[in-house]
Amino acid sequence: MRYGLRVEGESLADMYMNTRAAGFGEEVQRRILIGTYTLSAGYYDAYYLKAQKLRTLIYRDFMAAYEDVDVILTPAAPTAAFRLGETTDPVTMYMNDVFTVPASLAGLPGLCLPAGMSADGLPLGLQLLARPFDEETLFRAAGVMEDAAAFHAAPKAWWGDRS
Amino acid sequence: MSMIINGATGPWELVIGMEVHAQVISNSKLFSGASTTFGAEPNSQVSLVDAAMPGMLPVINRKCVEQAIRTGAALGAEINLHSVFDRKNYFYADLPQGYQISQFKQPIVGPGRITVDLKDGETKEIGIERIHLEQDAGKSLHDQHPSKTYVDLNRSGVALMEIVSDPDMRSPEEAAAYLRKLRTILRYIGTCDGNMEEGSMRADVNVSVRRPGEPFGTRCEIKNVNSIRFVQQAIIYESQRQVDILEDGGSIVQETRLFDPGMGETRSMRSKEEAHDYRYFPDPDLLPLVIEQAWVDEIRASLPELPDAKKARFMEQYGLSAYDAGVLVTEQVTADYYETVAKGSDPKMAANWITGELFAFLNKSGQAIDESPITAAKLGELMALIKDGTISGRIAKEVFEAMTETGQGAREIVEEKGLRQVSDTGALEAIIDEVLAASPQQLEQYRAGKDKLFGYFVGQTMKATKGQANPQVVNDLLKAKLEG
Repeated sequence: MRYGLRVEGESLADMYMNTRAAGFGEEVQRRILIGTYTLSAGYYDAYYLKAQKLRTLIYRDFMAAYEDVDVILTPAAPTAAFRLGETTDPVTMYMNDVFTVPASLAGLPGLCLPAGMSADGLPLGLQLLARPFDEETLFRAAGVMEDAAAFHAAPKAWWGDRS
Repeated sequence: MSMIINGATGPWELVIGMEVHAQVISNSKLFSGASTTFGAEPNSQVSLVDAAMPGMLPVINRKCVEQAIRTGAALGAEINLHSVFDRKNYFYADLPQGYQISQFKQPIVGPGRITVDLKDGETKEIGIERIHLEQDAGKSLHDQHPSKTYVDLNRSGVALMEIVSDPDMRSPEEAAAYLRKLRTILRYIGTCDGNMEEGSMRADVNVSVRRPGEPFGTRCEIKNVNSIRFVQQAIIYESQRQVDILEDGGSIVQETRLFDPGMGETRSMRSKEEAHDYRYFPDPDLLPLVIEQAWVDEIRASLPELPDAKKARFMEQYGLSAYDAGVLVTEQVTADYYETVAKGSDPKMAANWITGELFAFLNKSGQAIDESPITAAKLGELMALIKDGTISGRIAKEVFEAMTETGQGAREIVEEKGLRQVSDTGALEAIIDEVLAASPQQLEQYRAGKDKLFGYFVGQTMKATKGQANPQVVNDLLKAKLEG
């Protein structure tokens, strides 16, 4: 192991296991496990292949929408950011990605821009989604919105200022 | 030509399928610019991509893709214009990436077929399920140090074609014939040198047994068998092992086995439970491989005459038997050699001399036909001397021997040693008269009806001419004189 962390063990396999257990956080380990599970021979067809088909359906759904509109506007996230350590339930955290994941699945360009503040004074974002390879429209629409929203709020505290 | 094993409870039929890994002939590797030359200093042909250094990205080698298409075309297979490279994940020290880039659900070559040549000129079609492109792994060297294993990454990333057959073979002979034919075709089209000893062609053999006519039984896979002879031995051992288990009321466990040539047996390597779970997924570093139909057509049009077509032509054009034609087309160089010799002489005679005298000599001297001191032109000269009656076939063997020793031309040897055949009827007539005069007793017996003595007179005449008399002329003259 030439780069990064190395945690010794009794054997080569132990060393790898120790290193990965120590070096990867819970969420990374969880995602590796889920990925390994869905790609395993026993569940490949049930999960991975099915998910690939589902992805095609999602893509088609978007393309149908783009017959009528040029860009799709959504919130960037369903809530404002939660405090560090406030939410630990993984499903709640995954749900927070619900608006941004579809563009990744469908292979669409997406852009988030700051749009306003929540009642607690936390920034809220908007997301624009465009057709594949139509970044040009995406940037133009976002530019217009940015100007119109005139969003100039800056954080009150910055980590750099705390020293 | 199924091989049936007759067990105590009835007959068992063998079912064999094969996955052949054929190293692609290309100057550089499948996804890097490192050289593929065999036998270089360990780890001297390793690019950053082959060593899987962080951040390195693979770039597909056009030549390797062309070779796969070429192979597919030669096997009459469908070429998929859209194919996808996947990561096949497994952990081993000689695989630095932690995965092999391969093709899983969408290979570059789809179904095709091979006609294999069996005994007595019989043939059989073996289906090809698919061919996909993939990377070879590095090599672990276990014999360099008492307690350590060394890794040589020169082979890491070299392109392989995995050629997967249908389970169409029914005997060790058919499996051997399949490998031989596949190797011949790959060599003809120059996509793999087919050298099993050097490991540039390796076979995984799937073996199962069943009651004739019933569905397939559970198979075992015998990994990495590296000679045609071992493939046959492994199949014979493995099928008998399976029959023994089934006859004892047991059942076959699907597993991967290894063939031990020393013991002549297969041994369990890993069971289904321990089987690798490769977790295939499309390689995000590589786009789907999309090729143009026009390129495929161009490659197809550039294929040389393939062994089956050549064999048919040799039979048709030169009147050769299926067997002789089959032997001569096995290697392209042999076929070319034959055609050069055949052009200036009797084609059947040329075939006999090449498969007889020449092959025997090459076998003994351990030379390949393209290293032979007797070139096609030289053998052609010898054949021409036989054809025009300058020497007899018997004398020709003597001349051939001298050619192998001295490297001289046939005509030169004939002149130097005075081996020119005597066809001059006048001279021969005089000799025959002497022979007849010297054997009055035999002459009397012959004329009394003892026909067999004809051979005696021929022999005496040949002896008197030191074997240089033209046998046909001697026959004709003798016949005339004895009758007269």
